[in-house]
Amino acid sequence: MTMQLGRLPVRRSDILLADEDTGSLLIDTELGTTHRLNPAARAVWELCDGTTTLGELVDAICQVFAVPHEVARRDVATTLEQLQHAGLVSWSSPDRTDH
Amino acid sequence: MSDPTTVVLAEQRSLFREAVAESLQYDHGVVVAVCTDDVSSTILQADRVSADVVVIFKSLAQSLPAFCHRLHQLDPPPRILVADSHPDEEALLDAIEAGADGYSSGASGMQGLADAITAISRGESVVPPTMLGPLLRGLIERQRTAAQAAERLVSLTPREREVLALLVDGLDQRGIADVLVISPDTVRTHLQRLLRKMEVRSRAEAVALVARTGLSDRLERIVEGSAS
Repeated sequence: MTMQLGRLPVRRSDILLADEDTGSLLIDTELGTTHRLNPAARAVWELCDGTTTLGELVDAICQVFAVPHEVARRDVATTLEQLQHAGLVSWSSPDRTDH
Repeated sequence: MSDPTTVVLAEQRSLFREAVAESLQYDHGVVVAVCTDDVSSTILQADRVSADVVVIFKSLAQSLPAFCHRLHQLDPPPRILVADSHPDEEALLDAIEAGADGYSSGASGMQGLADAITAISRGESVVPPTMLGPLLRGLIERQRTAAQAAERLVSLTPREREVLALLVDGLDQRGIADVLVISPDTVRTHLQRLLRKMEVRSRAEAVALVARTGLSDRLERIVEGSAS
């Protein structure tokens, strides 16, 4: 997958999120599959709301974790790529543009 | 073997403070070098003991931005952990925006606090896992609000920006009139116009918007730019 310029990530609304002591799970009830998330991936999942741009997400992560912008951008892109590959996230047409 | 972490624990309530310090030390192996009960003594003691971590409980978090700013100016600057008694998304957001390196929600008890101190002393940023998403969303929303406010600021005339800057400095209508050598009625007209342009209902709301969105510096630059 490549980052889809001008498009916004949207999570599937029928996926269940369950928090456990050891991490979080996304449960695809349609396929009967589960996907384990670390805390950062869980946060990215939550922000795949169809309004948040990749740039906004990366800026916020940089502010919290004090990591270089490029590192955060690469990590977010990798997470989104994995979520999309698993069929959990798609890309919407935006009202807002990425920056 | 690595040096032990030097911890300063800042909390107003003495009984609670002593209990937390004892539990950290005897139950969890985290030695609290000194306990403090206000901002000034915390700065002094953190500097004196070269604190690695300063734990600020919520009772002392009212002036958190200034508190964190002063701690960051120490050499070396300590890491800052804000400790709460229950998960509070707004408090977490305020802590991170103020410059804290982490937030302990109290949900995992003393062990959670001890773990947070250890992690933060290693240079990690500490945020409760289930609160990270709401935190990022809150930061993004505040950033959007700031961007909108900045756009509105640009629409002000140079004189209106001067009036706003003086309002932010705490001057009332007459004080602004004295500084700008104009009549109080003219100041009132400027204020009415700038409140309308900023889409706020009161002077207090205008000041709060400038403070909340971090536009004070920008306002100062705009005023300096228009004056030169």
